Amino acid sequence: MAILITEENKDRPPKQPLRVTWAIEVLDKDMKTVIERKSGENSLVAGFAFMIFNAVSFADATTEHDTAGNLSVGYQWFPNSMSAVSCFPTTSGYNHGGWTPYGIVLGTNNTGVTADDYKLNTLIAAGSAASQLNYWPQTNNAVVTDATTSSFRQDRMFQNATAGTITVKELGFYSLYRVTTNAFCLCRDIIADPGTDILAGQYMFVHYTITITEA
Amino acid sequence: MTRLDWILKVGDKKYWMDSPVENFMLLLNAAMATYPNNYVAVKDTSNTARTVGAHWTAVNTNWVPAQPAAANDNYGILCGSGDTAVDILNYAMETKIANGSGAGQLSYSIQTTAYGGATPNKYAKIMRTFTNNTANPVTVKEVGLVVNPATSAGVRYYVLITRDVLPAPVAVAAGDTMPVEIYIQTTC
Repeated sequence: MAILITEENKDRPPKQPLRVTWAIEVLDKDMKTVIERKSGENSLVAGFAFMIFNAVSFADATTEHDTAGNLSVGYQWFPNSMSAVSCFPTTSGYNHGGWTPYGIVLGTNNTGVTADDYKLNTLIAAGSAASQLNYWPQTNNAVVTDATTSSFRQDRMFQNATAGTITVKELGFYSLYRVTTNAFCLCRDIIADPGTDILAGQYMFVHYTITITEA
Repeated sequence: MTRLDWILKVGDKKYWMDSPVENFMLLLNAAMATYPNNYVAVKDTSNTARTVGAHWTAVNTNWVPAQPAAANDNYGILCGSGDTAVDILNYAMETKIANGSGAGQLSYSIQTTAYGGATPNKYAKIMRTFTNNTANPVTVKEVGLVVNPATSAGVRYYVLITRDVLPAPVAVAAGDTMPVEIYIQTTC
């Protein structure tokens, strides 16, 4: 049941109808888990509201910042059969297929999240050169519904193919625009210092879960 | 930390929404899939399974073809008189209040949308007004949002994505107009 907003509860709803949470695992060369971490609060940013707006408001030319900092129209911001471009990576998504970074992304700067964040502060580039990570294809899992919740999870593996350690301090979720040259940031989360290390040869497996809950 | 608040405004009262249903998640999940896996089986408002697209195509245009016109009570924000608790599998309003000026009906306006606000409150807003052109009060107990996605052949169906039961009925007096707004809003 909807809850009347009063002076007592105006700053925060008794519960969140929609939450996004993340979990990470660091795996060694034998794919054995050596580190596990989970999020507390979700950090959805304006891009997520913008996505819902565009879903229910076709042909509106409203703009929001893309991950390059440019104001871009979002009315065709969904996977697009016109050019067979998809907003979210699967088989074509290895190291973004050479496109603007999209899907689950990692970074190194854990400055606090604000609602108008439109990108990670310091994105870890895709590749196997120094300070880079190989971004594997992303998996979109099916919706699972029980009596009171409905959720789905997106997974992506990252590989440190360099000779050095890479420390992850932020993560996020980008959606590609219908053209392959810009994307929007849906959420950004930070990992408190000292961050999470991925040693040379190790992997990081990142899971983002979106959940709705009925009271 | 930031979060996404879902706020329903009915007349002069605001409510925390409790309402996205499974259909919303199915469409969101399909939208986040890679083409051509963007079609998903949802239940339309007649409780029939329909495979529709959650993405932009020449025939699909995201989740709606256009904003619902005045008098269209098939999709957009809808009002109802049912008060059975929301279930995550709800696919329709319990008792939709039909558009019109007959007894127990409300006149539905065109729906509009907006995206705006300032940090930390950037929002998507969906707005519609409901006018009581009858001689007696009409009581609203539930509010829902229905979208209108298409199959790959371009056939459209009505799909409920949110439903909220109000904690107390809201009466629209004869001759009055009641605005209803849904905000999906970021908050720090």
